[in-house]
Amino acid sequence: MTANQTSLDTLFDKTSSNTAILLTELHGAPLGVPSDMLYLLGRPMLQRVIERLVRSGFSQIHVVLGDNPEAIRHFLEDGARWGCQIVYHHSQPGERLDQIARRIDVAPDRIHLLADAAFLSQDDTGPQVPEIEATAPSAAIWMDTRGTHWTGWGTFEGQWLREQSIPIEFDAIEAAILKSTSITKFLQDSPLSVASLGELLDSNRRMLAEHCVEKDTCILIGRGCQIHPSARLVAPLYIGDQVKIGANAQIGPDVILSQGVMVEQEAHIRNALVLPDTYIGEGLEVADSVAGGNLLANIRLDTVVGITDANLLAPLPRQSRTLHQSPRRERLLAVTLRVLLAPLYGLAHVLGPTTVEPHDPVQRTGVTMPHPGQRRSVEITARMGNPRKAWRKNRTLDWVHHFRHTFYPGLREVACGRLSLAGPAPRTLAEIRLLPEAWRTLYVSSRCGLINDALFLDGDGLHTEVQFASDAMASANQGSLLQSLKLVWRYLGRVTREMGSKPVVTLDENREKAVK
Amino acid sequence: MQVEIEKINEGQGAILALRFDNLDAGNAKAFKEALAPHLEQHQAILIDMSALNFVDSSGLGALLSCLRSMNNKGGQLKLFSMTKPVQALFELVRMHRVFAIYNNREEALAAL
Repeated sequence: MTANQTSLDTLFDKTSSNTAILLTELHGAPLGVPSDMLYLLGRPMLQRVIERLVRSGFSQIHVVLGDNPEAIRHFLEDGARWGCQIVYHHSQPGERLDQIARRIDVAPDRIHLLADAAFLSQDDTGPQVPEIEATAPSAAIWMDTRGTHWTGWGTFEGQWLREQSIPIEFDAIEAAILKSTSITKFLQDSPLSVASLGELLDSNRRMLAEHCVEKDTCILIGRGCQIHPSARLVAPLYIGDQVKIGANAQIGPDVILSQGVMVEQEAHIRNALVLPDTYIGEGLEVADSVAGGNLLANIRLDTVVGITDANLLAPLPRQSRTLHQSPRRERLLAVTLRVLLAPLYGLAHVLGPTTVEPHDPVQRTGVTMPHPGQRRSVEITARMGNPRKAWRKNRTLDWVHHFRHTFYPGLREVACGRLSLAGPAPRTLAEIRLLPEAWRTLYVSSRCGLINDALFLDGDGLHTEVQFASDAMASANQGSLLQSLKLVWRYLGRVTREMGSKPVVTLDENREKAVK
Repeated sequence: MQVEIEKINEGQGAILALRFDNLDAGNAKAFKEALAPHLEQHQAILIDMSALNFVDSSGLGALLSCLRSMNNKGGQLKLFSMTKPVQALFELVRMHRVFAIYNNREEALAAL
């Protein structure tokens, strides 16, 4: 743990139930959506800010909304999917910071974190708090040739917040902070920012550079992309999920294509950010710009122009619905397997005892069913045994047990579209919340699956790194029927081999062993 | 369709100042018809784009048509004082590589 995190934890001991106040919509909606919702390397800034707050230990976040709250409320919901509780406060026109502080009922003698959702420290260890005394309020600042600026994050005494009769505007709060002598200021690097379109583009480039070990060869490509062989990709470059790139297109350098973007043939894109689900027409040249829907913001010219011709620049319908439901082919396959494997299922019932309880009942297992693209988590109940119960003490999988209680009953869930054949292992929402962030992200964008590669690794099957790698591979291959078939074939091979080695045991003998 | 015409000294050509806000599907045809006699009459045409804030693909098509007419007879067509939104659009569709575009009237005249 770094010194910064140590002092952060100490500081938060003084806060009232670890609450944070998040100011949103302070920087307008330059591309038709609140700037806080603009994307930073594949994820909205607001999501990154919330995740950072939750990672830092905040369980309750007061979100102050502006004139257009619907998009933010729809995205954040009640905060459960982020692992926190979100309380919304709509600021009225002309309302001041002290009024909001009283409405939130900030405790005067406690220290509270106040953040502008358009800013985020680039350091991934959490909000930067320096070595400060636990009792001292503080604000992170950064400097450039124009002067001193607030980074958008700071910790303040409740009493100070209750006294600030200033508009809920970034400039006003910044001025109050810089003027105050009771707030310790500490220097940081300039934060990531979506406060303006120029800063948005620059921040995306900075994040891309951070992800790249070597800038000249760094091309990050997401899942499900279709890239024509003649397209030219120039590093550094980030291509999100489900992106399509046409023939002879030239993409890069310094380009971020968000998920769902479609780039037609012969288009050239450089030094640009393309927001999700945007269509770039044939032969266009997008440079030094941010493009989203039918809006083009040329950063160099400092202008935003609306394009009325849908063959040039246009929003695309979201693809999330097809991602959410299992492909029809997979569901059909599940139905077919249910029919074909019924005799095997019957055979599994009469086969010999296993090292686990032979009459292990089918349990209701709650698994999180994410809506990829919509980013909503819905918890469903799948009627199948807990897959973890099939592991023996010597860390080998009881294949017959797994087939009987998890795989075969789970085929029904696949046929109904709730699970996939292959995917990240089913986990409850509580279990997912405990996973590292990269692992949690898999569950946001993939369906859980009945089987994956980890099952075949016996002793290593329960090992964390191996399990994560298997879940990630299964997530990347989701949608590939061929990959699923290969896994199923391999799985059934193991099941039938184990069945062949087991004696047939009657139900009475099984019951006697259970009683013993 | 308000177009102000100013002849350039010594018969070099004419400056056409477009005094309307949009050049789109609604007035592209009228624009072409308004410019046609001047394109025929002069060897060099300079178009003042300072009042134009929006151009769509129809408007671009009309301007391209004018450019083709001048090129076919060995003449010149130059654009100047383009507003930022129109310039952004021209760059998007790569028309900035097709048209001769200048920052202001003086630069356009000097290029004749």
